[in-house]
Amino acid sequence: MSLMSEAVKKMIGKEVTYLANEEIGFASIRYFELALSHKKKIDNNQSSFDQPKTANVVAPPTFIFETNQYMNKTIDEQGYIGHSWDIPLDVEYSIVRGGNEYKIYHPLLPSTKLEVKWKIVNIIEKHGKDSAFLIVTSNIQYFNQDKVLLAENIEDMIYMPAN
Amino acid sequence: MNEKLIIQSLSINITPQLLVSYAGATWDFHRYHYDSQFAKEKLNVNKPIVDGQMFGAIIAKHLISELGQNASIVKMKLRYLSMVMIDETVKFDFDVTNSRLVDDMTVLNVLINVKVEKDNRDVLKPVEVEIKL
Repeated sequence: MSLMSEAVKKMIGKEVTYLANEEIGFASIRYFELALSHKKKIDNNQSSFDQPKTANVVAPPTFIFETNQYMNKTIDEQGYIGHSWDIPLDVEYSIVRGGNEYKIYHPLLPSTKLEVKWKIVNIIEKHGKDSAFLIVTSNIQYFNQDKVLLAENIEDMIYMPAN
Repeated sequence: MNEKLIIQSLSINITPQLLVSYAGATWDFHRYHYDSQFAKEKLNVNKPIVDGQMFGAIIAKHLISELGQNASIVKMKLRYLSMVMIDETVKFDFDVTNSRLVDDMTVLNVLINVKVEKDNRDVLKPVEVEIKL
């Protein structure tokens, strides 16, 4: 059975934009840094992203792609607040991450209020051992409040019919 | 003759504390990352799983630690091959594949192999990173 219905094909080109309620802030950057330091290292590496609280503070480079701070919606029943596309499949499905391709143009600052644009640029169907699945490719653009493009992410998410 | 730049390997044990603190820091409260029963039902895995994007953050942190605070990551490509669960240990091996001067800045290309130590399972295709120094 093909998952690539006309309704699914019509999702290509769909866009949605989220505008953060507030700036990123020093605290969320420090929280992210702390989270990544909270691990049992086997190799010695004492240095971290630790930075003094000054005007020079910038977020770690991949933070912009990982935070859901800019989301202005509620948490869903699975506990997720991040963006996901409601792909019109007739079967129950799970979503897993396929890939990310980051491009970073400018640093993310504590004072940045993010505007994030998601767009579906492609959907393809593939066939695995047990069933078909979809790869939904999104282009995600991150702007600051001055409409400067800070970073882009090409993200593949895999929509797998449930067992 | 220029010596090849060496970046130290890194091993990280995926603890529940790491997953929970990372989930909080990224505002990602999905049950995949702390609810074993839910992960079993939805993904047929026995334990909560890592959000794969965390590996990108770990790689970025380690590269900046090794190369200095002026190192600026400009590109990173991650292709996920297998899920990683709580209690597994993941090893990162770094290989600087290219170094060149562009507009008076050194640009490095680094490939990172990411594997689960226990079974040598590939977590990602070799991660491609471009860095300006």
